[in-house]
Amino acid sequence: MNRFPLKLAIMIVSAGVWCVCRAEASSDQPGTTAALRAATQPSNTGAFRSLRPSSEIDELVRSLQASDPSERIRALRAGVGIMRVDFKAAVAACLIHEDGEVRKVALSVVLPSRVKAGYAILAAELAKQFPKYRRGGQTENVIEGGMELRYPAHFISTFGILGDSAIPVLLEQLKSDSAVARYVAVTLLGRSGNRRVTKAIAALLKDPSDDVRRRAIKALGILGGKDAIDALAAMANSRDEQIAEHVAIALSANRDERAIRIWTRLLREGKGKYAGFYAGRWLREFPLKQSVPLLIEALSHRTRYVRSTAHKSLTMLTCRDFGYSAGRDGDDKETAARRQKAIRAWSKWWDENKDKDRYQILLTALKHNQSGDVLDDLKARTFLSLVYLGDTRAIPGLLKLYDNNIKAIVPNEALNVPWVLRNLAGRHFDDKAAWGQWLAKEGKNLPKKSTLSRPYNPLRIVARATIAWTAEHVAIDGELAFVGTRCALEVFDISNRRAPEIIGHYDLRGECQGVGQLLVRKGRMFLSTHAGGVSRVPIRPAGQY
Amino acid sequence: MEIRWGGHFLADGDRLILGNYKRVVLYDISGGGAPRLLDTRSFKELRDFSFTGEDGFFTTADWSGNRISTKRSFPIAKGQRVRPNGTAKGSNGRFYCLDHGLLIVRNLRTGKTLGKAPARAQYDARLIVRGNRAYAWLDQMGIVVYDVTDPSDIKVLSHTPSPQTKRYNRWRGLCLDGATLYCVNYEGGMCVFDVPKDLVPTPATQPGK
Repeated sequence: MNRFPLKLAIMIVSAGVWCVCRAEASSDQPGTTAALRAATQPSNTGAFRSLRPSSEIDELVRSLQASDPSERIRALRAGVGIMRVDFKAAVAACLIHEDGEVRKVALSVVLPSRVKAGYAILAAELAKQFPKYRRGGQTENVIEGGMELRYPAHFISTFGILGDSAIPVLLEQLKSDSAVARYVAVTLLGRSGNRRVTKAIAALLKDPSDDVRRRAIKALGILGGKDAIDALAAMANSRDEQIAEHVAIALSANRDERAIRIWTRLLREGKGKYAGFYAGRWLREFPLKQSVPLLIEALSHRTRYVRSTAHKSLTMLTCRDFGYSAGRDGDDKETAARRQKAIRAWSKWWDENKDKDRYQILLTALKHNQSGDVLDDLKARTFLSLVYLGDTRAIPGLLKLYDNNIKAIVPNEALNVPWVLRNLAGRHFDDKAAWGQWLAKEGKNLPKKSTLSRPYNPLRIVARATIAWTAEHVAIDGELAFVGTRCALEVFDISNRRAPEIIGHYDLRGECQGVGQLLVRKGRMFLSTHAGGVSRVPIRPAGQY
Repeated sequence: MEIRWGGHFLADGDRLILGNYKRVVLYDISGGGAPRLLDTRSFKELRDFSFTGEDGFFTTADWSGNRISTKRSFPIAKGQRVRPNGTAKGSNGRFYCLDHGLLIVRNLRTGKTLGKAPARAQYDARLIVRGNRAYAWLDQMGIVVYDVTDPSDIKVLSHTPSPQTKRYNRWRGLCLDGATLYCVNYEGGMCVFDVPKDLVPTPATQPGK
């Protein structure tokens, strides 16, 4: 009796499913449905309404610098969403204005529009307002705690590219009474890549705060350059072991050999629990003759981490391991007997090989590790090391191993002899005979270093421009460059290509999930977006942005 | 039903192709207004496509490297993967693709391989070809300029590594304008490069290959 309604229900559901499937299938055919046609038509005709003329933004920037707080507030409210760098710097400066209302409104602009320069000041302000984040008195925790309120801490690392107009704001922050503000400012200046700030950062090497001093050392290490390195080297004899270690890391990152002396002192005479903690990691940056004896010595260090990293570095440099492992348990568990045995083996090996080049050592390791078709970790590492070393003298030796490694594959990379040869020689040949012919012909003229393992005739950068968001694509039309980012389309005037200048901005936030690609053809620009569809964007003359 | 994710596209004359990993849409852009939808096709894991140079014909490549017939096409590289955005059409009927660590040059009509060169890329890459020069940004190598005058002997003319090795700060987006190269990187910067004379394309390429 109840069967009829059940049958009816099944039929209705089946018909519905059929309709949906049919609609899906038909949409894949040429001559699509009206729904598809509508979906792929430009849907964001209103997406570019927030484009503002340059003159209007100039006026707003002037208003943001006005003495009258109400004028500043008006400009802040009117400028929400403007991404031009000088405007953002002016907004950031309003965060530390004496008038509370200006600060409040500026904060409301900085938060949603992600004004990078403002974050430095914002972090300091948040640290003041939320003292509960002062965990253990560590400045870094304060900042990360503050950032967690709204943004992930890693956002700090994206401050790397700062507009030049943000640098004066940060330099001003270096003189702040707040250690947090100085800490954030020196961090960001270090990442700015602008060596003109070296002197200002070097002045912070005598800062009363340990955190700020350490961060200044790190910033100088990132910036590099003679002035920064000399300033760091002047601190090499610091009695504070932690400071000395930071200096050693910064010098090692710049391959400055003065670091070796510091590491030696810390490893042999360090009294603190963590003295020489990072020696194992950073010594690998130096030539074998300087690093290997110290690394072998570090295998006897009292701290397991130092022993472990020293062993890792030795393995990376030489592609040998002598059966040693610094693990905590299981098969890898470190025992005193295993350690002593490995140290003896390393010492003996070094006595026999200390006069060899690294590429000779790697080739020896490759022969030693030759075990079959599939690469083990050490052999894969040897191949990679040969490529990154880029010594083309390895090519004849590798050619002899050609037949043994054809099937050798490691996930993500086809790490085999042909692959290494290709990346050392900058050429591709399909078989061993062709490689042999090429080597016989070109072998004498090969450059010592591979063209692919180092900058080779690099293109010269004549100008840089900063954009607030992750950039995806660039297209050129005459004197205009269009850069598509994750949330906007920036328009640059490139009439003077050595000084590109942002003159316009199409705000696409919330409407298209970012630009996919840009295309300019015959004065017409097309833009695809991650949200779907293709749009045509009008190109105006440079003066009309 | 929208074209989501990727939106890689290119134009040739009055035709514009927009595509992502599974769908390609052909637009007519001859009019003054919005692009007009002409045709749409679905594919399995499409990676890239390029015009063949003949009106209305284009060729595609999928993840597995298999042939996908769109009126006129050829197998890209059986069993290997073509990098996203890693194909380009060159002069003299040549087709270029970045394929599993290689730049491969093929004859556009026959699919015959004319030459190969190293091009290390893991996640993403883009390729443009102008005259006898190919410009690629590769996430593992940076910007590489190739001399493709003779496809059987492709030379690396220039190698400019990315400013940082972090994956998300590598070069991303490339545009050549005369002797100036514009390149953006993922963290939000545009760099302007002077292209030296020997790296600027010259139209002459070897015929008949």
